[in-house]
Amino acid sequence: MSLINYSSREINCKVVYYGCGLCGKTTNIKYIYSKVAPDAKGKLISLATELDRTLFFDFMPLDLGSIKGFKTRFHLYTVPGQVFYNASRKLILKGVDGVVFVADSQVERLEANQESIVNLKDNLAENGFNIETIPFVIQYNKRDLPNIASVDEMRGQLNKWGVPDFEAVAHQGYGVFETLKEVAKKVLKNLG
Amino acid sequence: MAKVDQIRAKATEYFQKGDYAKAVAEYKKVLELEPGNASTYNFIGDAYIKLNNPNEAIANFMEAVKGYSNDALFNNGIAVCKKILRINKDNPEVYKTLGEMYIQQGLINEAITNLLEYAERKIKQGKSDEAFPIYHQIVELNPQNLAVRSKLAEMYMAQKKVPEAINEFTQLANAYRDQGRQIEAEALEARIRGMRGEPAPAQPAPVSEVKADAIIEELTQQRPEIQVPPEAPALVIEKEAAPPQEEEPAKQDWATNIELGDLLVEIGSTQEALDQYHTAANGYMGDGNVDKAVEVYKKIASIQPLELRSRQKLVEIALQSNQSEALIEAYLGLAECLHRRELREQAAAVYQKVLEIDPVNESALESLSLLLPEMPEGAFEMPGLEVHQEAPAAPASAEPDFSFSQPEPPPYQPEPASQPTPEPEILPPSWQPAPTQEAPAWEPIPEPEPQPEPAQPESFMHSPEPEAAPSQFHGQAPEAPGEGDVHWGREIVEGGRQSRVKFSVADEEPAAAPGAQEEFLSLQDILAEFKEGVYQSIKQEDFQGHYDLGIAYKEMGLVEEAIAEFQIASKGDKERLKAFEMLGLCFLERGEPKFAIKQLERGIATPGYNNEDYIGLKYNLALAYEQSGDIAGAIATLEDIYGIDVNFKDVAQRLHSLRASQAASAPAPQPAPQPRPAVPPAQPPQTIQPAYVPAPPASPVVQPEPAYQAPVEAPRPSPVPPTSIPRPPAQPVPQPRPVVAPPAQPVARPAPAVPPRPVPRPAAVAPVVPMVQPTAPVPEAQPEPEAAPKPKPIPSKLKKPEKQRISYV
Repeated sequence: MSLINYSSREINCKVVYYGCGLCGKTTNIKYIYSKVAPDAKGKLISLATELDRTLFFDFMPLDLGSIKGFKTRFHLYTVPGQVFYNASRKLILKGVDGVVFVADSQVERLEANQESIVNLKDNLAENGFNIETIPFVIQYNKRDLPNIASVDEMRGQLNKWGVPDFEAVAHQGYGVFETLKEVAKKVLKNLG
Repeated sequence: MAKVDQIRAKATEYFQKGDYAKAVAEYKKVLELEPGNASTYNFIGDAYIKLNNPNEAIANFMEAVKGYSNDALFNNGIAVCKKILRINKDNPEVYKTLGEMYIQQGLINEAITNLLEYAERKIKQGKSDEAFPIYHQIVELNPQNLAVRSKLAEMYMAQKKVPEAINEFTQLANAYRDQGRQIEAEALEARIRGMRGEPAPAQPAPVSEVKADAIIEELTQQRPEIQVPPEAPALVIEKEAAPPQEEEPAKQDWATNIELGDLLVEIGSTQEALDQYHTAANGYMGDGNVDKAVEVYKKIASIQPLELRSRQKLVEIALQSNQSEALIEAYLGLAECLHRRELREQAAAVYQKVLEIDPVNESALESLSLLLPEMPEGAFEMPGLEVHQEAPAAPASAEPDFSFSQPEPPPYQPEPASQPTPEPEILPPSWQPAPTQEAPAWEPIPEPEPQPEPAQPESFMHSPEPEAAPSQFHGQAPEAPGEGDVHWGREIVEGGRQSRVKFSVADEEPAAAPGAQEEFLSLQDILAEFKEGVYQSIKQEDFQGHYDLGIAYKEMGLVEEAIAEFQIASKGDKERLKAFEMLGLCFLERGEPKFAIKQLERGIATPGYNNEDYIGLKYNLALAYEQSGDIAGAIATLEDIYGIDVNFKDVAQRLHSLRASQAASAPAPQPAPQPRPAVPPAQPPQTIQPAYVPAPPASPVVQPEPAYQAPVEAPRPSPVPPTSIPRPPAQPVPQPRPVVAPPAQPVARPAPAVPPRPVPRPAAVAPVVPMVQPTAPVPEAQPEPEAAPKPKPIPSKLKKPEKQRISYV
C-alpha cells in the first residue's frame, strides 16, 4: 500500500523480490544499485549471513521519476529465501505494492521454486493480497548455467497466472532492468 | 547452418528422443570439430547419466569444468562441479576445484568450506603433505580463521616441524591477544617458550594501560561479585588491577593513541581503534584532564554508537561534574544506546533518570511512551528498580536496584570485510521508462550520466552470538548512597541482554526439541541484530538514510523502530518536515494522539515552507485531535486545510461528518458563542498551536487514548467565514451554528469561493492511501489485517543464522 508523504510530495511504493534461497534476489538489487545514478537512489542496506544469505531483508530506495507532481520512490526489498525465515517474509510483504518472483532456472531448483511461489501466494493472502491481482512479474534467472530447465517448462510450473515473465542472468544484468521496469509500470498503473 | 551446428542439432534431437547412445556419438563428433568445448562435454556427461554410466559422466563433467574454468565461466564450472558431487561426493579434487573457482568469484567463505573439505579428505587419505599448502591458503584467505591456524600448527608439531609450528603458534597467540583473549594467548606463549627451551619470565611484564583496560573489560564481563566503589569508577579499578608500582609512571602523550586510533579507523580496524581511544580517554582521566577525556568518549560514541562503555563513562563523568545539561545529554545517549540494544528495562530506567532532572524532557517522555507500555507489570518502578528480589536485605537506597542473571555479552565487534565496488556504468539502453497508455503521467528521470561511484562500501562482520554465560550473576543492590549513580550506570550495562524476550511460537512453528533453543533465533532477535548492524552503519548525520529506514520499518508495521529512525531524521534540515509528518502518522498508528499532536505541531512550526507543504501535517493533526477527543480542534484544523485545498483527501466529507457529530452531541446552540481563535494559514504556522495544545501528560506513563470521545465542551464556532464553507445538499443534521449554506453541490466539488489549488494533487492516487476512512469519525484503521495499535514482529523461532556480515553502501 503506497505510503504518501505530502510535505515532501513523495509516494513510496514497495516492491518485494521473492524467491527460494540463492535464486539471485539480492544480485538483482545489487545490480540495480550499481547501475543507477547516485542522485536517483538511496542507501543499499544489505544484511547477509556468513554464507551470503540474506538474513532479514535487503533494502534500497530508488527514484523513478514523478507522477502528477509527486516523486515516486520505489523501495526495493528482498526476502530471505530459506524456508525457516517465513516469519520474516510475511513481515516484509506487509504493505507490498508489487512482487517480483525470481526463479532459479537450474533443474535441481524447480521444486524449490514451486515451494517458494506457493509460499508467496500464502503469505500474500495472509497479508490481504491476492496473487492474481497484485502487480506481479516472474523472472527466470541464471539462464547462463548449463543445467537449466526450459522457459516453457518453468512457465508451465510457475506462471499459472500468465503474468509477464523475463529470462535473466542477474549477475550480468541481463533481464534485471526489464523486470524492474515491468513491475514498476504495473505498480504505477495501479496508482494511476 | 554450419556442419557443426547440424551435428549438434542432431545430437540434441537424439537426446530429446531418449536415444542417449546416439546423442553421445553425435556430441563426440562435435568435439572433433570443436575440441575442448565445455558445453559439449557437459551434454555428453548428461547423456552418460541417462545411460547409467556415472564414471564416464564424471570424466566428461570434469572436462567441462576444465573448459569453463579456462573460459573464466566460473558459475558454469561451479554448477557442473555440484553435478559431479551429486553423483559422487568422495572425489577430493572436485572440492579443490570448487574452492579455486569460488576464489575467482570472490566467494571466500564458500571457497574456504570446499578447500577445508579437500584438505580433510587428503589427511584421511594420509596425504597430509597435500593438505599443508591448502591450510596455508585458507589462512591467507582468512587470517582470522584461528581454528585452521591452530590445526596447521598442530600438524607441524605432529611432523616435528618445530620452527614452522612456533611460527604458527606465535601468530595465533598474537591473534588471541588482538581479540582480548589474554588467557589463551599467555598459555600459548608459555608453550612456545617451552618449545624454544626458554625459561618462564620471573616477573610479569608491567601492565600497560591497554592491558589494564582489557583486564577491566574481562572483569566487567565476568565478575558477578566485584563492586566498584561508587566514588571510584573504572580508573581506580585499573590501578588496583595493575601490579603495584613504586613510582608514578611518567605522563604519556595520549594524543599519540588518538592519532593511532584515527589511522586504524581509516583502514577499517574499528575495534583496534576503539581500544586506542579508550586508552587515551582513560589516560586523560588519570591525568585529570576531564574535558579531553569527554571529547574522546564522545568520539568513540560517534564512531560506535552502540558501544556502551563510552556512554557509561560519559554518564559517570557528568555525574561527577554536577552539570545537569551534560548529565541529561549523557543519560539520553546511554538510554538510546540501551534501547537500540533491546535492553528496554534498563533504557527505561535511564530515561526516568532524565525525568528526575527534567520532568518535561520531551525526548525522554516520548521514548518512555514507546518503552513503558511493553514493560512487564512491576518490572519498572521508580525510585528503585527491582527486576527480581533475591536480596531481601538490600540496603535502602534511593538509587535503582538491579539484580542480574547474566553478565554482559561480548561487545559487538565489527570487522572489516571486503565487498566489491560496483563499476559505474551507464544504464542499459533498454532502461527507458517510456510513457505508456497505462501510466500516462509517468515522467521518467533523465538517463543518468556515467559517473564515478562516490560511495565507498563499508562492510561489517558481526561477532558470533554471545555464548551463554555459565555463571549466574545475582548482584546486590549497589551500596551507593550519595554518588551511587556512578556505580549504577555501570550496573545497567552489566545487565546485558538478559531482558531480551524470546517469543513463544506455539501457534506458528512446531516447538523446538529440548535443548535446541540455541539453534533458533526469534524474529525479535534477528531484528535486534539487524537494527544493531544498520545503526552501526548509518551515521547519525545521514538523515535521509534514517528516514528511508524509518519508511522501511513503518511499511512492515514495525512502528516503534520507525519512530526511532524518524526522530533522528527530524534533526536534518531537509528531512525535518517529512520526518515530522511520518512521526505524526506513527504515533497515530500507535493510538497516541497526544504525541502525534506534538510532533505534527513541531513540523508545522518549521519555517520556510509554503502552505501546501504543511497540508499533510495539518490533516494528520486534525486526525490526532479527533483521536484525542478534541473535535473542535479537529474541525478548526480541517477548516484550515479546506481553505488551502478543498479537494485534499476527504477533508470536506470529514469536516461534514465531524460537524454533524458535534452538533449531535451539543445540548443546544449557544446564543452568543465566543468565537474560537481562527487557525490562520500556515504562515506563521505556530499560531495554530495555542488553542489546541493538549495538557502535558501528568505522568510519563502514557495511557492509550480512547479512539473517539464526544466533546464535553460546547461547540465552538468555526474560524472560517461561514460563507466559504460548503455544505452538502439536503443536509439532514441540524447545524448548531448560523451557516449560510452554499448552493447544492457535491461535497467533493465545493463552491469556487476557495482559491484554486496551486499544486496539482494526485487525485487518482489518493484513494489508495490507507490513511483515511472517509466517513468514520474515528481514526483511520490500517488496511493490513495484522495491524494493531502497537504492532509487534510476528513471533517465530527461526534457525540460528550464521555469522553475519552487514554491508552498507
